[in-house]
Amino acid sequence: MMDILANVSLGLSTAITPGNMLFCLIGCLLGTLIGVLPGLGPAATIAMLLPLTFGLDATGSLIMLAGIYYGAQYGGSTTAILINLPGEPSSVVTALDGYKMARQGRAGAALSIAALSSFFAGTVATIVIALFAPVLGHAALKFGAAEYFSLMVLGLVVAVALARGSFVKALGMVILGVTLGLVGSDRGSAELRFTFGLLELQDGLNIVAVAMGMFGLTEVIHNLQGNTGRRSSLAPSLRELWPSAADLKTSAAPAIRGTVMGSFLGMLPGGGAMLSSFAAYLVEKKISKNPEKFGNGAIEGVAAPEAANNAGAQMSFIPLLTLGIPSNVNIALIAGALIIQGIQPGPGIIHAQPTLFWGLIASMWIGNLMLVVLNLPLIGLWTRLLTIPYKLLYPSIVVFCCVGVYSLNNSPFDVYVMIALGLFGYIFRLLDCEPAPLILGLVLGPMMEEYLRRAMQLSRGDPMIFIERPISAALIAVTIVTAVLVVIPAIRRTRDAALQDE
Amino acid sequence: MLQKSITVRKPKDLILGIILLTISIFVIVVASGYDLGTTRQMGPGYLPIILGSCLGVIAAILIGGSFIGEVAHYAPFVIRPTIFILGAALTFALLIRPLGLLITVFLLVIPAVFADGGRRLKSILTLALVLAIGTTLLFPIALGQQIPIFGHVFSH
Repeated sequence: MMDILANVSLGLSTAITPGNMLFCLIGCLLGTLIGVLPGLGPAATIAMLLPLTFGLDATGSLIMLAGIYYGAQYGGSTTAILINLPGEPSSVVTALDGYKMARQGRAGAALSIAALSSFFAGTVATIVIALFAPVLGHAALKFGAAEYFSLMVLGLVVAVALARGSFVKALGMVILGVTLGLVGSDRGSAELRFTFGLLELQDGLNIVAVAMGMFGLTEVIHNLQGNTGRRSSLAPSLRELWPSAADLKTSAAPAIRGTVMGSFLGMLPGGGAMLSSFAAYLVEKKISKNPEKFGNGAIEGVAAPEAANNAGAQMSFIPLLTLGIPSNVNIALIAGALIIQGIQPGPGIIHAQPTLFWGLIASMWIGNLMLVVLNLPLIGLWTRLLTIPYKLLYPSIVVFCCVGVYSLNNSPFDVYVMIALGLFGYIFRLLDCEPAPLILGLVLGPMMEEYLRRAMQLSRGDPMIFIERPISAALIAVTIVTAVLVVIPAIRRTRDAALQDE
Repeated sequence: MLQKSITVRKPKDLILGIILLTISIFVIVVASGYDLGTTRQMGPGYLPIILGSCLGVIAAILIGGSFIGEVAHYAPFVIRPTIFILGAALTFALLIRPLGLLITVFLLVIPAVFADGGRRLKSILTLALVLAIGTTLLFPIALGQQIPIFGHVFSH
């Protein structure tokens, strides 16, 4: 216990210096600012703002990134509530009741409840991480190559399962992502693969460039195909900014339940935050005395999923910090920033760099606090941002994407990668494919190959190693159950369609 | 007159299937030049061949499935924003080294605004100027990043 207190105070003393608080403040403000803009979810926001942190020291840049991350997430929920445009899948359910509330003139109440329950969940999740990350970090030392590989397979399958639309298409995107991850020098033999003589491809495709292409440029092109009108002049009126005492009372229990769910489900690699928010919403609807309120502006329908997705988002740092596995696109981008700072995320980080580790945990909480303190008074400003016409906005987005990607390595090549992936992203989008599974595959691919190769060396080529080792076997079992659960209804639907045809 | 014939019912799945099949064949062809190794000692070609084959299987499922089931609608590829947005980014990639940040951003905005039909010259120039000065102040000046404000054509 004393240990934990010492650790937390180390973290707080790292995070609470005037300089670091300022970085956190700037991160939160910018994250929200960009995240609120229509058509830019957290991933695009983080990717665009990442270059801003390169000039800082490791701790400062992490603290600013944490601010950006939470700001961007909050920005995504804001657009979900105000204009029914969720910034990322995990705020889809927030839009159901949040947007209804906004239509009823209760946007202010919805936004402040979202912020307050997020803050509550963030606080709890921070404590949970502080308590359990060292324990989990210890357990992670028992992870061998087989366990790592199985866990990553599980992560990819969960990402596929949670993608909208067809299972086969999402699976195709994941495999394509892993395949794109092959580009560059092979870690086993140092042989260059799929580089076609291009020096710039030796280190592989830059994840930020790929993410900017598929989230930034693709999104702009998609938004411009026709109905841009619906994006402007949608600012709802804010009759009341603060929730009533009754709202707070109704929201308290759902926020707590959402937090608990997010804290457990969030650890799952592959989409914990999204799964948490869906589960929390369904549970609230199920146990509610009047479930018919849901979908018609029930404040519980905002409080529970917002708490769950924030707790989940926070917990998704666990696989990164204890195992070095980024579990979603946002975390992958943050991991990229860590690596640029010369820090390899993984089991060693807690002991090797306690200042940084505990500083990061403290800054998560401070990021959440800043968000409440700053954003509640600024809700009016964020709302007004939504009135910026898209025709002014999108050229700025293109400029930011280009300058941001170029500044990664000062290389026009990264911009070409972004352009190519922007084009492919648009084509895939037209064909009902989501970018997130592809990018997760790209991130995890090289690690998976490495661990697969090592596992096979250990077992002398016997694939049974994955089910002989208990932790690995459990992970594989969960993977199979997940896959079967998703595929069965798909099989049924296809069969139904085929039968109908006769 | 009802006649049973093979028709494409899900053009999206067919197109995606063809794209993935092309990638699959490409990956396998390129990877066959790498050392395959054994399962125990995987060579650089081992995983690419497996992944290429998996992509091929998925492509086959998609192509096969596109002929059965309900007819799905197809959203057309919209050429104008695609060309102008990607063209704007290409302008940046080509000009950033010779011309530097200030002028490149200014020039990038001009194709970009035509993506949604263009607008009056004065508003284009204003937007371009604001963004050019804004990014110059933000990235190299305020954040101290090593992006040249003026490119190498001005250094003589």
